[in-house]
Amino acid sequence: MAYRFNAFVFLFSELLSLVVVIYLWLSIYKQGNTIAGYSLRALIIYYIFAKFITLTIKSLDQARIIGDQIRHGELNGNLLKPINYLFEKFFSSLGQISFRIIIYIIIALFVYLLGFDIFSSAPAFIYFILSFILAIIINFLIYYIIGVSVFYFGYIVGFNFIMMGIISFFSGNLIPLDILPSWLYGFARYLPFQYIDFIPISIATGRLPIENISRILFIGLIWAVILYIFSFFIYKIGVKKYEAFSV
Amino acid sequence: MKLFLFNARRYLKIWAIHWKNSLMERMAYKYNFILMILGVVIQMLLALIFIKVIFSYISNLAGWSFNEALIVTATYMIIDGLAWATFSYISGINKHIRAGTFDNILIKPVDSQFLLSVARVDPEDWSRVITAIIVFIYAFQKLGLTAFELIKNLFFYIIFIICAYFIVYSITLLIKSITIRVIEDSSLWSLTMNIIKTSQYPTDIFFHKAARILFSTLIPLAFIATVPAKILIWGPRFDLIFYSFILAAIFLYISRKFYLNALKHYASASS
Repeated sequence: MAYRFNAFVFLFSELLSLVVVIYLWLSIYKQGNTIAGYSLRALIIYYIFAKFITLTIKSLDQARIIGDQIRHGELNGNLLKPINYLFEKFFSSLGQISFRIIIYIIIALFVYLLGFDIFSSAPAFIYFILSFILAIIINFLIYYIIGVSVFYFGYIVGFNFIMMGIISFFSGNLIPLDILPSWLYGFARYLPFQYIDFIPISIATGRLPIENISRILFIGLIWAVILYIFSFFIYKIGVKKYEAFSV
Repeated sequence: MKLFLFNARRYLKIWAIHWKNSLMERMAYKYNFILMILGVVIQMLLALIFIKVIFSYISNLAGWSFNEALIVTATYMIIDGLAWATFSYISGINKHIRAGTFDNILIKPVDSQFLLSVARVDPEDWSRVITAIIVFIYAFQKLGLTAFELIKNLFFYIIFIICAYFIVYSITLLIKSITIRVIEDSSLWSLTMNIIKTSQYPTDIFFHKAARILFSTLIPLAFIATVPAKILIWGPRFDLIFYSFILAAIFLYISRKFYLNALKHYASASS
């Protein structure tokens, strides 16, 4: 609460961008079409969810923080502690995410009071919670990998910048993936990024058949394990190259 | 007049030095610099795919065809690229204020607003301008204008682009001046970006009167990309040229006053 002004302006700014997206889709739907089976209402709910995910888990800038910490030699202290660096970073970000969830659930309740049935069914709500946890883990691991790649690249601002654009698009944050041309959607389905936005939102809104969700979440879990193993090795090998130059 | 020319030359020289420094700073990590350029191009391509996907479902967006909407987006990208490449949305202000190095800027015998604006420029964002111009040419040559219309409209379009550049600069300065008072500016940064980003779509999408007044008059976003695109496509309208000049002048004046007023509340953070 030390930065109340900051929090208020940030919220206002994000709501403004949501309003603009809603106006864009209202204009599109004025022509009376349905787009890839999405009604206007379904798309608005999609973007509200996407905004919720952005505000809670995607705006932490984890890669930059980790990259700067390693680059500035601040890892030295961590190397001496009997703490796993990955878990320390994960639980630190989880603390911030938990706080944000509480704040933005209040907004979600406001949306609910406006008459939007946010979840399509009770099982959809439970599966959404599971997929949201998976989204937190996958999102963290991806940005952790980008962050620790500073061991190899020396400076990751450019790499992080590229990945942020790619992740934003292929996670379905910018546009629902099933609206994309089939070749692009087919490509996106082979990437882990869809588990950050598209899969949780599709589960919540009932776009995915209930009987398929367990299988989809299991594949997501496999992605999380692959990313964890990769991040483990990228850190382990990277730390051997690490030249601590701070005091 | 002599004094004005002398000052103008001096300020241009300072700008050039800052630009050179920024380029050298970027080139210290040359692979990172290349990745930044690549990132800019990828981001723009993904934004264009977004528009292409939308138009695969509709024939027009609030009265704008695909190529016309592409002109709006390309115009936004040109302005956005110029803003990054020439004053970087005054993004250095927060660092200076928090670290106390803003004092160094204030005591220099050069206008502090100018120094703050050119303290950081992003050379990689010229790739944004170049990519946007390529998109612009692609959409522009599909409009089917005669050679005379082309030259005439393009001339007025460039005038609008200059006004739009100053409007974007003024909006940025207005918002960033608040940083001097509140110190923490990450939210103000997000607000600036989200406001300017709104202009990448034709402002005709805001069909409610209140929204149209907000995004055309109170925050003159229509004059950043939509109005210049209209001039290019449908020819010059002198009332719009007049409004564009007036708005740019008013916003420049207000933002300058606002900045000077914010300076009075500056409390140094240095020792």
